[in-house]
Amino acid sequence: MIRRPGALIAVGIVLALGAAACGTSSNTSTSGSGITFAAPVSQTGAFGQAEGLYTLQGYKFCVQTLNAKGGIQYGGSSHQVTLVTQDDQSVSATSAQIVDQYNDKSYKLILSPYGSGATTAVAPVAERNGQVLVDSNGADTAIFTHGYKNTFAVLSPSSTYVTTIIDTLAGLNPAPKTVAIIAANDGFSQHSADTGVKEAQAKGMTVVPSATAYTSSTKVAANVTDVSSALIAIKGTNPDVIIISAHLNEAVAAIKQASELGVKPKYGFAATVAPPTPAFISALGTKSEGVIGSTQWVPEISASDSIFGSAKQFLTNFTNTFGWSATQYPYQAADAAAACEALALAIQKAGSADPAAVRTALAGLSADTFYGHIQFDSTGMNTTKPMYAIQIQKSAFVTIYPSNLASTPAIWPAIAA
Amino acid sequence: MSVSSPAGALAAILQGRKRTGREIVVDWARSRTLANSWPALAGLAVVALLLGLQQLIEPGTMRLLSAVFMFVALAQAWNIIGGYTGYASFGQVVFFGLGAYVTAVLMNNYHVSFWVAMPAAIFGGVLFAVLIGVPLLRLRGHYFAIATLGAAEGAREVINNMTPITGGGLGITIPTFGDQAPTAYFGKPGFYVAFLILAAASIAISAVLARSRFGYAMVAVHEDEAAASSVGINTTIVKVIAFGVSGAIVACAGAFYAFQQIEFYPTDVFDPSFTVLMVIMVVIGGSGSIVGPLAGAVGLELLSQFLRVNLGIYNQLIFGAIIVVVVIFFPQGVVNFFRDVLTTRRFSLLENVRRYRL
Amino acid sequence: MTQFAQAAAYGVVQGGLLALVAVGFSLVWGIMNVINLSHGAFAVMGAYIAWLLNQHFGLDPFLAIPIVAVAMFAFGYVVQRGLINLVVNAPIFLTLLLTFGLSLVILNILQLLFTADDRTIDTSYASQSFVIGTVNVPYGRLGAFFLAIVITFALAALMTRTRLGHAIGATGMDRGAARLMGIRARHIYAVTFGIATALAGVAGTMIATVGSFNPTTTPGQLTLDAFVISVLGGLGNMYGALVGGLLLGIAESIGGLLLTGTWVNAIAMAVLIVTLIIRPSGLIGKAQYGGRVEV
Repeated sequence: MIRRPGALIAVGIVLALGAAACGTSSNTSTSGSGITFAAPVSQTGAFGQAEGLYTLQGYKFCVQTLNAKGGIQYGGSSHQVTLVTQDDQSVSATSAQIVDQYNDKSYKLILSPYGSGATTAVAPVAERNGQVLVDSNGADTAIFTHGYKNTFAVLSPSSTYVTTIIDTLAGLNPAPKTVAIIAANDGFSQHSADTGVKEAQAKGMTVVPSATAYTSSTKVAANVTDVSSALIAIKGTNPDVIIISAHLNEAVAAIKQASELGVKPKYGFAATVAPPTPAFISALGTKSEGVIGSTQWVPEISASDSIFGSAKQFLTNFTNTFGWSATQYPYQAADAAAACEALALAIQKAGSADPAAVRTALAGLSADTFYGHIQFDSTGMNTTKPMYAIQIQKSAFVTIYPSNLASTPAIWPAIAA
Repeated sequence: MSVSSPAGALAAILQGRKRTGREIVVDWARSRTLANSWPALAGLAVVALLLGLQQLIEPGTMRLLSAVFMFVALAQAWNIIGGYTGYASFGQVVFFGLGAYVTAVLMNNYHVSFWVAMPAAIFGGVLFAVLIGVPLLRLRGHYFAIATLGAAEGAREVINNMTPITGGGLGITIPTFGDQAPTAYFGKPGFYVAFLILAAASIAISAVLARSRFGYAMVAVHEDEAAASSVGINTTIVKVIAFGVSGAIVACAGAFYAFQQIEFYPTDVFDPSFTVLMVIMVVIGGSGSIVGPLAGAVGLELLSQFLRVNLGIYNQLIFGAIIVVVVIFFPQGVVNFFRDVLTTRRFSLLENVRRYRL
Repeated sequence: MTQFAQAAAYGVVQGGLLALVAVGFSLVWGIMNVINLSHGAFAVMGAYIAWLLNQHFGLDPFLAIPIVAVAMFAFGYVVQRGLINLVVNAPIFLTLLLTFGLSLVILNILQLLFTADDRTIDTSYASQSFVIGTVNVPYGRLGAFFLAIVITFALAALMTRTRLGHAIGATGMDRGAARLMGIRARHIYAVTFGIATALAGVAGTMIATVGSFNPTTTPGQLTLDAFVISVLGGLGNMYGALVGGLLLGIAESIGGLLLTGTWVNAIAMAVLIVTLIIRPSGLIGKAQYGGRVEV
């Protein structure tokens, strides 16, 4: 007869804890000549099956292609690359925890998760652990203001997203004179809008309802599907173009609700991340026609490298491997593949996979790739690659800016009068 | 008769006066036998063991165990207000977030040392608990749950909008590098010890409260509040103190968490899933005892880590399914179930299912 | 002034939609004392069914409503009878946990099937609006508003004029006495839950038509809105849900205009807490439900 069952149970718990503590074996990193790239990616949660999937496919494609070409060559031998990933459930704190756990397994070469939020959380962890972090999809300039030495971003920073849209608009005919900017309440969207407003004013455009509206009346909560308050604030100011500096959800909601509320821009809509994402077209259907979006990569650029070939070849091979259509491709996959490629190039240049040597090699890297030029400034941003703009025409992404890459002219005004 | 004679307490009662402080302490010390002090001794032994273990295990496991310890503390804290006092708070995470933000704002904006910021966070938690406790604890059952949920969501939104101070949706970062850092970063061993001490303290507080007169008052409020107040228990004070203690522990956990994460957003630290996890751990472990929430916290945290690492995209799905199954088959809590099994020698899960169904 | 009028008009029709989301939730809470945390998940399920019907058969969402309602009713009946029935007598935490676990399962299955991408049903008329002066009233939301009113009155009629309605009300008031009167409580509970689930599905269909939805952020938002409105209007009260929905819709819309849009949720929470403190039984609620809150 057991008199103190609670005691027995408590003992059981302590034993379980002890077992968990001792039982977790430390499988050290891949032995032999293999190299491991480790990445926390979102497979469930808000980005799961969408942007997280695109990023994962980009990493996988890059590792596959590298290995097919014999792996990374240095020190007189070839080294195959293994990709290790774990689901961060689209939670930034989990991303940080995963990268920390990677460090315990001696995985020092890290590819970023999707999104500025997760990357912001992961960067200090990598810095503390001496891991090297190559950022594929976190553009917020705030990441680079903390003086981290181990984070390198291949993509153009947030300061270029809205400015590229403004530059595109300035080159269209008729050029808009008034723009309204709706911005989500997150670092990336707000900082993009900051520089965007300045560029608009430099180009002689007026920002309505006011130049600071994107921090107040036209600021919307992140990840919502109701942006009516921002649209109502714009109503009556008759902008020529409405720009949405946010992610997919907010852009879809804004365009749908805009027609409900009778807030019609005279010429058209533009948004940052959303239009060049395949899900945008499938979500909005006919309403997505004519929307302009800024994107990190288009296949028309005349860039190439020895690993992926030309930009067009990358597109063909990637879409064939993962079943995408050549006119609705996820640019986030190109970002991811470029990050992985930059890491590989740095290892080759350093002649070793030692994180300190790789870090130094990355800092001094200057490479022309299918993605464009990759070179990092002193804070780790890639300011040598521009952004481009696409317009959705007949459910396809059509490159319209810069004009030397545009094979098809933009449909402008995008909205029938 | 000297005041420390063996019949001190009895003498005091016979003489019709209250015992002095010294008499109380001496009586307590004299009444300690092995039978009633072994839980505390065992607890101390376990803590010593786990401290020693720290030298042997690797950093990754330290981080995992730190998370387990944090949830042990959170579960114990929830149990105080939800399990003993019976006021199921569905917004307990509000203290977590407040503790985290008070710490972060003080350290980032005012370069205050962590050792000053943390007590400030605890104080903030208690203050907030009293502030919202007094109006909200008048509500019962579901209404109290919803009101606290509303408070948590509301607090998050407010912090989300105070961008100049808290960074709002742009997040806040505690400086930890170079001379910017007001306090050196603890590192994994440091946080392991910190969370271990927090967990041990929360268990100790819980145990002391449960066995004290205050504990009886809490349970009385749970069982029948009207009767409790009619025998002279000031139910408002009891409820507010329980709420405050619970809030203090959670705020302290939030402060440590903030320092550990370094960088976070309002949605991270006001995440309702923290509250859900707290509730699950207590309910599945078994509410109203010390061991129950402990078992629930350890078991569930280890389980969810295991699922996340090994099951990839199915991990949330399986986790949800496990919750459903456990709630149906162990409605009184797994620990309580095994306790009943050990005492009644009847092991019938079906009987368990029949307990609460219509 | 235009903006104010527009915000008010939009808030009213938005409120109708919110009321539709909340009415089932309020019914279940009031009659069965069950807080259904998977209510948002049911709404999204209904939205996906309508979306699928629209994608594959081109079926207009308003025409899809009966199909969605019947399908979701059956689903809700089975879930209640087979699953939630098992914990109806248990402390509230258990029903909360059960429905929470259920929502995790449902939403993850939906995400695996359909990905986390935002979806919406494209119709030619839903985003069009008619204009009164400078105020636009969108057709889609207006349709949802009228639907909400029709459903509210229909439900109220069901409750007060039919035997089934009387049985439901009786079971909600005193289950023991109802059983003694020969009412099959398990069946009645299942029917009630089925009705609530069907209503959630219909609400989801409307949301898909006038806005967009996804399996990750939409359900939580909907359940939260349902909470607030149910408390505002009073549990188990159909008209209360309508009034609560309208109130919330208008408050959020005008509030979003006066403060920035990011304060909208905070406003909803403030409304909730103030109502709970001042008048826990809700604006129209009957004290009988407010009284029976203990476990």
